[in-house]
Amino acid sequence: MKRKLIPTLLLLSAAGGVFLLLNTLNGCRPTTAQVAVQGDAASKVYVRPGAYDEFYNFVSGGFSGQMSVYGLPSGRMLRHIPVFSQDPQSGWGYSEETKPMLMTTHGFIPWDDSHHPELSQTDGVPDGKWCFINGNNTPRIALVDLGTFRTKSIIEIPNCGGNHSSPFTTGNSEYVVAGTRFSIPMGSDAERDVPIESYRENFKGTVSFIHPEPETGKMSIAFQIITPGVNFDLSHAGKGPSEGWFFFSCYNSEQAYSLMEVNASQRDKDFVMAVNWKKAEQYAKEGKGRKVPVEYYSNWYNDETHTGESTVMKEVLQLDPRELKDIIYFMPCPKSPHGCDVDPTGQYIVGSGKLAALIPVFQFSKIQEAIAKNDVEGDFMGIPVLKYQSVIKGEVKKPGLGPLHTEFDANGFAYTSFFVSSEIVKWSLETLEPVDRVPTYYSIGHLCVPGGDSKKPWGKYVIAYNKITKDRYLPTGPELAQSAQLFSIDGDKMELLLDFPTIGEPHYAQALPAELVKPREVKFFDINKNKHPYLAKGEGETKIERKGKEVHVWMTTIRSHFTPDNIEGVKIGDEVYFHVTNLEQDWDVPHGFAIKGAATAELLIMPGETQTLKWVPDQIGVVPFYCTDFCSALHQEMQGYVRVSPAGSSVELKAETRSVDAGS
Amino acid sequence: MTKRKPEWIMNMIVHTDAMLETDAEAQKMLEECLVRMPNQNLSQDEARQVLEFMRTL
Repeated sequence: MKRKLIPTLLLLSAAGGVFLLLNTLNGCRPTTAQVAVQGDAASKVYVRPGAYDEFYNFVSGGFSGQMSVYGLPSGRMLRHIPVFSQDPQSGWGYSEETKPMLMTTHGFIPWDDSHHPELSQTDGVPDGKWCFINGNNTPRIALVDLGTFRTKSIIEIPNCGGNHSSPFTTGNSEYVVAGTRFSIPMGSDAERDVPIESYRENFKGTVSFIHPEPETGKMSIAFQIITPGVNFDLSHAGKGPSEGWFFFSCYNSEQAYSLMEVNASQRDKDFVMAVNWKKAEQYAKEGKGRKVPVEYYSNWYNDETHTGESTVMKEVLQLDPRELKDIIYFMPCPKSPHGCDVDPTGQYIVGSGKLAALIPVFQFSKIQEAIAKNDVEGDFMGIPVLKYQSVIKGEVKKPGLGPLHTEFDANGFAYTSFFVSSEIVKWSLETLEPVDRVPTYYSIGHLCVPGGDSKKPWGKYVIAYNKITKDRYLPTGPELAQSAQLFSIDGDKMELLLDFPTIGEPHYAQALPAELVKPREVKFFDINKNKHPYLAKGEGETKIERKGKEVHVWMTTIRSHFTPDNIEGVKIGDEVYFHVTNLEQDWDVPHGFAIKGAATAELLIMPGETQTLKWVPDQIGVVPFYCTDFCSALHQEMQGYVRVSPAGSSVELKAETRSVDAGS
Repeated sequence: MTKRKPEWIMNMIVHTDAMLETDAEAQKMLEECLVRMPNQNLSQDEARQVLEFMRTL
């Protein structure tokens, strides 16, 4: 709201003094848009029609449950990939084949909260093969195949509450991790049904190491480490000298369980947890640890049968660090740390404390020394706590308010986001001194430097992902989009180039050169490789069959007709399955399928694919269906009819597409 | 105990965001609390009533 400040003494009693005479300010920031963007920013982000962006930017959808893909530097949205939430547009989570992907031990769940995309890596560098993303609410990790830009597998994480510090990858994606945000009681029913105030005695955390099979993308849990009941926020794998280690930021070392805002902010220092996963892996190989019975789903989409397959896993291998020594260590870290970021050399680990006034930089060689010399300041719930002063290189002093997250460029600089003071600060890893700062509009959460958490950052840009947009764009009622803001980091000073609204909440993002992904793009599915059980490989293979109350239709689509498109003999009480095969074998020729009154979304079938819509007819008469995705000049003519007769009628089952005399 | 001037309190209530941007005292509080005081969109009359109440404390 723009209001002039009260300039007079009229309202005051004898206390005296004047209201400050401030200029009318718009919004939260003193600088105007004209001042903030310099020179030829426009030319640096303009990608002319027909040309391609330089980078793919994979951004979490947050509470949308999906993943969005933007081109950089243009900021154009290229794709909205359904992951954990049903997507009516593509039929994801509606078609018979995709529903299994969203199955969990709680049944079918149509939504989740996706926070952190993480690109798969080879030799410590994103390779463009996969992108992982976590589901925070019903703990899961999804793997998105970057050849098809589709969710290929989803694994449920057992013994976990709130999968936040996830998914973060090792240098060759041997593992991606999951870490509990909300510690919970575990074990038998009696062990889990405990009073909430018994948190300290009974609640535990877990960090799980998930292995994706390189050929297929199927995921399994290699092992799980039980931890004291703290909250894990974020994580990153070590690299170079620290390869074989994982670092997790931990808050709530107070072990509070109510009014966390106050109770989990008491202590000056929480922790960064260092995990020697190589050693844990070794213990697992030696058969140490306990196989704990617990059920969880592992779902995988078969691109040959075009069908999701659900497997219920029955047990998980748990390692207890109090019995199996030397796999986890705590390092004190001020204060309620969020980001836990490892620099490209793998030597420095930066902990960003939400409530801290400084940024500690841990040094891996010192961590090793402290462990070797048992340089500890005690233990926390049986886990050794290394001495703070012995493990840090130093601290970045008074950099800003509310540090959250740090990424790196290839020149020895770190970029940290500050939520409370709404800025990005660039600082030197060598001197630990800030060298530049820029305001973000507004309230930045995470940021992303292409390759910024890898061994060899590509640099070029830092993108801020902002929580509050307020007056940045045309208003759209009380609910506003969040945003991304693109800065150039080519020069010494960061330069604002562009900002654009995003879907959902962009918690975190990863970016890589387009060249690493473009060449592997699948343009359509080879129909000769299609092994769907209800495939119709040509119009000659279409048919209709009754199996009791089930009616199965083998159907094909091609520009611009369905085969069959006239169906009779369906009765009230039937369940009709339309198995639709798209016969096209070219790029960007999908067909849609929808039928009147169906309690589901459309099918959107890619060339060479088969997808199934289940329909329960509920009204007697003739019911139309049609193609929903504009496919050709005569798309409007792409339709069909189904005759629905009363239960028990004797109308013959028939399915055909035939020529009709126009008459003369 | 720090006592604030009435006009400072009025500005904090009625022009919260501007004060957090420009006023040194407000910024010191922000550094301490690490949470921005929310703008509750009070009218000047309502803000005055809050001020008068605070005067009694």
